Amino acid sequence: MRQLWAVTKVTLNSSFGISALRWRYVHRRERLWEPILVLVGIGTAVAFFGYGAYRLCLAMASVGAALGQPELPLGLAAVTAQVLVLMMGFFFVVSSFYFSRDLPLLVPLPIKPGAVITAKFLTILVGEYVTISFVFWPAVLAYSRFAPFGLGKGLVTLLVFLMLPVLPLAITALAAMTLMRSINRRHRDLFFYAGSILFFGLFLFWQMSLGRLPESDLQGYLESIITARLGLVRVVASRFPPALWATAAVHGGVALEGLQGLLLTAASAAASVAVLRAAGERLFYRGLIGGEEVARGRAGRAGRRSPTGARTASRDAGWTGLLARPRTPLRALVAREWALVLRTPVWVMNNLLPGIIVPLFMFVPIMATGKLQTDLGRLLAVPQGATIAGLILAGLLLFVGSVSGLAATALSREGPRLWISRSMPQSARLQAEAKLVMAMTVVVISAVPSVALFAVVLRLPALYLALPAMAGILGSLAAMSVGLRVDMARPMLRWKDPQEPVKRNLNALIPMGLSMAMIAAGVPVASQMISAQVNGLLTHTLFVLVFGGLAWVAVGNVLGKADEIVGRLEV
Amino acid sequence: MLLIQGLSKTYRGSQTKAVDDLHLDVRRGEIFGFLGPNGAGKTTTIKAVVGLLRPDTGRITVDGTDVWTSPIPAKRLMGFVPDTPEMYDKLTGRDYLSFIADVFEVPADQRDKRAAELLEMFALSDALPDLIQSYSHGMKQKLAVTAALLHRPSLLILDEPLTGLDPRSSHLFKELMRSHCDEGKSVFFSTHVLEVAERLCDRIGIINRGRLVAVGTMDELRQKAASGESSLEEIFLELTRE
Repeated sequence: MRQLWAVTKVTLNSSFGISALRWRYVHRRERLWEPILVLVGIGTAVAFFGYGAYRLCLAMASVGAALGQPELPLGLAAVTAQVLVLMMGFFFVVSSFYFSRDLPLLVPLPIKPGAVITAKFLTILVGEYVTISFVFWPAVLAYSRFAPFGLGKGLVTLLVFLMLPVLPLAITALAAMTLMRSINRRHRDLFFYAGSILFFGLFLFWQMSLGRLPESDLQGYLESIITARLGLVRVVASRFPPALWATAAVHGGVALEGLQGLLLTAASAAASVAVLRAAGERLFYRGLIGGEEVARGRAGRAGRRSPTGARTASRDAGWTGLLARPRTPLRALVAREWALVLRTPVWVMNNLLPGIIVPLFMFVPIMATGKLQTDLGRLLAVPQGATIAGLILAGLLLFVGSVSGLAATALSREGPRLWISRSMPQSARLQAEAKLVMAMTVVVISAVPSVALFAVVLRLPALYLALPAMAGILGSLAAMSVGLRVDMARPMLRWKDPQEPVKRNLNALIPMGLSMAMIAAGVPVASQMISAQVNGLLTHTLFVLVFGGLAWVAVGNVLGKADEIVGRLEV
Repeated sequence: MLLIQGLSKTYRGSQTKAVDDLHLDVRRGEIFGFLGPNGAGKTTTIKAVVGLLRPDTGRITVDGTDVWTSPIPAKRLMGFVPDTPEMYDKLTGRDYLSFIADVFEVPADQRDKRAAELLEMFALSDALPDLIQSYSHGMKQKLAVTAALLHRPSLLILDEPLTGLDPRSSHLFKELMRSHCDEGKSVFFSTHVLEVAERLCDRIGIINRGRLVAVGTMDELRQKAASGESSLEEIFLELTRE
């Protein structure tokens, strides 16, 4: 137990950089404005998203209370939180269990594998508490407005919160360990992608299945939902029963029903951790070391063959094509960016996929119910409907384009390898161009599904698609350029784990913040123009010009200053 | 070939000068060994030369080209291998060398030939299609040296280049440095291996606490240390005594 505590402490410390933060802000008292800014940023985000979630839960609780089931938001929150952990936890588990840099330090220590994975499991759990807080606590708050909520219930709720992510995270960890056992290190990146697509597919399936109602005896089905105890919650939780136990525990509090729910939640959590730990003893090191053996074996063979002077086929062929076909420096730099991002799963997940996933997340579930076509079809019927639809498209593209942190983490991702870029005879300006080209390629690719959707569903005239698309992409270019400029001036270069420059780097949020600001500033202007019955094409052209102007200034600034800014960096 | 005049550098948050008014020249066709205890300022000097650290004061030129006012032409003249070659783990050796050949604009008809020679010498040919993350430390070191030499730099700069190399590669590498200089080019390298410096270098500079305490051939260093037939180790210990 002492060993487990020691490993957990050190894993938590290194994962969240506690000693580093203490050293910088308490011991050295450097750049104290940074934590203040971060706290203000986090506070604002928590207030913004937390309040939004609370309002949503309040509406649900109100509907539920009218049906005599005020616990409805609790059930939804429990299911959502557990499914989020189940889906997203997979990436954290694989990254932490199999790709983290502390493994070479931990593995040789006389610690049982079960203790290592339990420590890592607990560390991931801490992160998951932050995620599910945004879902769980607003629901509890909303519920407490419609149902009695005393001290006993509060205590039970806290215990439920602490146990809520344990079971889904243990399930995902078990799945990951079992799969990693049979996959060697060389194919792990591929596995990571395959797993991501699988989990994403499952998520969509779950979302769509929630929206589907039985076509036979619909009347009876609805009646049973309304009259049955926890009826609505049972429907929601039918895809993941532990959520029902958690809801019953919070709703029942210290009453028998509540304690039963709490007991079931606790028992399932404890059992899942015990199974995980036992499985970890058998599977974890085999999966980890087995993969290493394969990788080292290949390298070893290559090293052994060469000194004997064995000639290869390429040698016999006169070395033609030994290296890749020559490219211009700009093309080589862009190709490097692509290769590095595509071969680093965590960068793909954080920087590449969001641009594609976000529109799908928004559209697929709605499309499945047919609601989108109806709503957008109704929109086109109103005056200036096409203009409004185009503006929605521009805003959507601007938001989706800025979700990617590709530009805003471009220099940070180079990290300890920045010496290569700094010692090559190509200007920082050219290198910045390459980074922007790469980032904007992703923006354009991620715009395609949304534009295609608007084209197919709404059949908007070509100019009503092209102009908003241009506006959205140009706005994204402006946001990306500012993000890149900030990252060039203040990159996160000292990292060991490739997750750090994309996940712990606040620069990544800059484009998103800017795009939100642009949308917020654009909405009243657009409203005024629509109210004044200004020609739709003129409205769109204005946005193209404004966002184009912003992009021109931002790109000019980042490229013009690149050599000066990067030259100041000390590597 | 390399001229350093009045180089000083103090790191942010530090009171001590990492390098203090350093003057040094590396001549055409010579191997120059840069020695000093840990924390003496060797790596800081090297980083300032290759453009990774901006000096507080001083001027650095390579073949007459100022490293800080004309960085691009200056970098074309240099090849650099850092002490711990952090490389793009997710690229293959082939990807990496192709990239380096592209950004250094090595002529299309020469890149394969040069790469082939170096890869054969370091026995890296078979590992070329593998990801760099599967390379051992020594293999990474050899790949970094191959990349640094691909564009035939006039000045090869190496920070602790022999660390992690097996005896055969180490021997080959020393021969390579010599043949590089025989072509009229120069090598500037830091090392802790005094025997290597003593046998290989045409001239040696010793830095201590940021200041150059001695520079010259072995004979000149012996005279400076006034220690007769001393070995470089004895001279080094005497000149860097606290």
